[in-house]
Amino acid sequence: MIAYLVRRILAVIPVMGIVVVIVFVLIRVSPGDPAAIIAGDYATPEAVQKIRVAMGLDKPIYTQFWIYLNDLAHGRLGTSLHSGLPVIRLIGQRAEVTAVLAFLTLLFSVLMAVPLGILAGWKRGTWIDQSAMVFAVVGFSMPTFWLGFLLIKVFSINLHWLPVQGYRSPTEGLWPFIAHLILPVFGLAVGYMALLARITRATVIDVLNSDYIRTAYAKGATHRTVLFIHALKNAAVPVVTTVGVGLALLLSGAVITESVFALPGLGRLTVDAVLQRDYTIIQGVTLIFSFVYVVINLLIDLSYTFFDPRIRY
Amino acid sequence: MLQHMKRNPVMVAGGVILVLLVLVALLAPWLHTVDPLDLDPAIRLTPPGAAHWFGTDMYGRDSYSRVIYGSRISLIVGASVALITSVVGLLLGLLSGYLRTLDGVIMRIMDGIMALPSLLLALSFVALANASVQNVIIALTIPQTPRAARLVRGMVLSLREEAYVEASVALGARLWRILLRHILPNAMAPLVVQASFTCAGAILIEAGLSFLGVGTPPDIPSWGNIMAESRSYVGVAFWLITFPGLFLAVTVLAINLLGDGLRDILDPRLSGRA
Repeated sequence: MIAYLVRRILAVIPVMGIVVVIVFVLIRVSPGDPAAIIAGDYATPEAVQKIRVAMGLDKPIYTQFWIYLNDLAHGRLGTSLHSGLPVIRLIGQRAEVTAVLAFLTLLFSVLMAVPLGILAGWKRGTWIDQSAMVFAVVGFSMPTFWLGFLLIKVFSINLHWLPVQGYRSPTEGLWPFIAHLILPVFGLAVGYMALLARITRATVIDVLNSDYIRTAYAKGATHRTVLFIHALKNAAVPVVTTVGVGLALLLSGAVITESVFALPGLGRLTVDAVLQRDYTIIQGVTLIFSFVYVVINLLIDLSYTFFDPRIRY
Repeated sequence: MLQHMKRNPVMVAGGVILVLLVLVALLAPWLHTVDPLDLDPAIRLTPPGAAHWFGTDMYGRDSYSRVIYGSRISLIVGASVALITSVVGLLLGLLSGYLRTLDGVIMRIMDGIMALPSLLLALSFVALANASVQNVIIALTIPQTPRAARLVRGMVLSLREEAYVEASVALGARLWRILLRHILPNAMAPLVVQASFTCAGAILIEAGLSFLGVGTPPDIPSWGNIMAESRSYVGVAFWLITFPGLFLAVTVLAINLLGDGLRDILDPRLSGRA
């Protein structure tokens, strides 16, 4: 187990290495000269050259990459081209909102979608199953930002039940904190819930069709015992995997949700950075998001032994 | 095929809606539309009515015409991304699955790309590119390609062990002949299904990018752009958000339904499961 653990953790290094290379290369192969774009439309060639030198873009690409790696190794993600502040500090200031949004969405989605998927799979072919699957396919097709606006229109503008936009820290009181997050969490959760419910249903159906379940029934076990004692634990692995894989969807969605609900998180930071062509921030946020994604998927991989004792490393 | 269609009316519905949307995009100039860029400040923010079916926006432009013309961008982006992704993914998957020497390198790069959230990857790309539909297509193709490549690779790995492939290797067939004549036709079906989901995803992300102000240039009406411009008017002119969003959701839904149906037909093992 420990050998596997070490191997699995070491396997993250090449993936992150490739992520670093991609993030580095992407900015350089984008059609457009970063220095010219940052300098603006009315800059003189001298001004553009000055920026190019200041950013180190006049150096050979391998030197640039070496400097970038060296900075990363020292925990430096560079400084914002716009505000001059260290990117790591800007990310630190905004991380709370995104972390809270992502965590609550994850929690809400799992708590809603997994029971729904189980119920749909268990009652396959009934109206419960059919309604759950209609929700799944519609939810998956729903644009996050459009849903966000519909929620704002109904619950904030028409009914005045919830605030339109913004974020309140938990230190400002529990209700304001929750009230500002209900709509963003729900809006972001719908797509993720749809994905999770579908996979849960498919897995439960698969497990319920397996031989050992038939044996359990033959032994006289009730529906309830079969489902809760025998089936669910074995259905956990694919569901937990989907939770991890779907996280990429969730993080992408968070960028848009933060924009719709004016939440000052990492997504807003990124979008503002894109509009200001502040590419050090974009690189930094992309790296951090990918790192979180890779680490969570690593933890999920390691959790398989807990859910399925047959999996031994 | 006809029997499959009878058994799966939901897929047929998806297909019919998609065909209608394509017709709407192609026939936009003849569908009672006006120039989507025509301004008329005198009629700004008119609610939907007989003269302007979907109302007018803050510059007095006809919302119906803008939404109809907007379908062109979504469908072009969706179809292009699905096509390019499939071709590139197919090529990488075939090479990776059949040539062990390339496998490690190609798949590690694909793993790296898949570890980046698609929207952020697309954002990083368009951040320094000039806003254009072409650049949006490239930006969306990069994050989607690994899925197609992995799928084809998986198929190739299992197909290369089949007796008929071994037989043709034994007969001295060239690599490309084996890949194109024997492996490609068998890998096509799952790839087509994957392409439909890629198309739906690309349409959603294009709208997302345009909504964030970094996708399709603002002078071209696209559903994401229209909603981005109208966001400050949610309280007073909700129709500006309703119609483009509805078209977007229905388009993506239609493609997803079609994809689900195709998967059931092409991969009967999964039929009725997910």
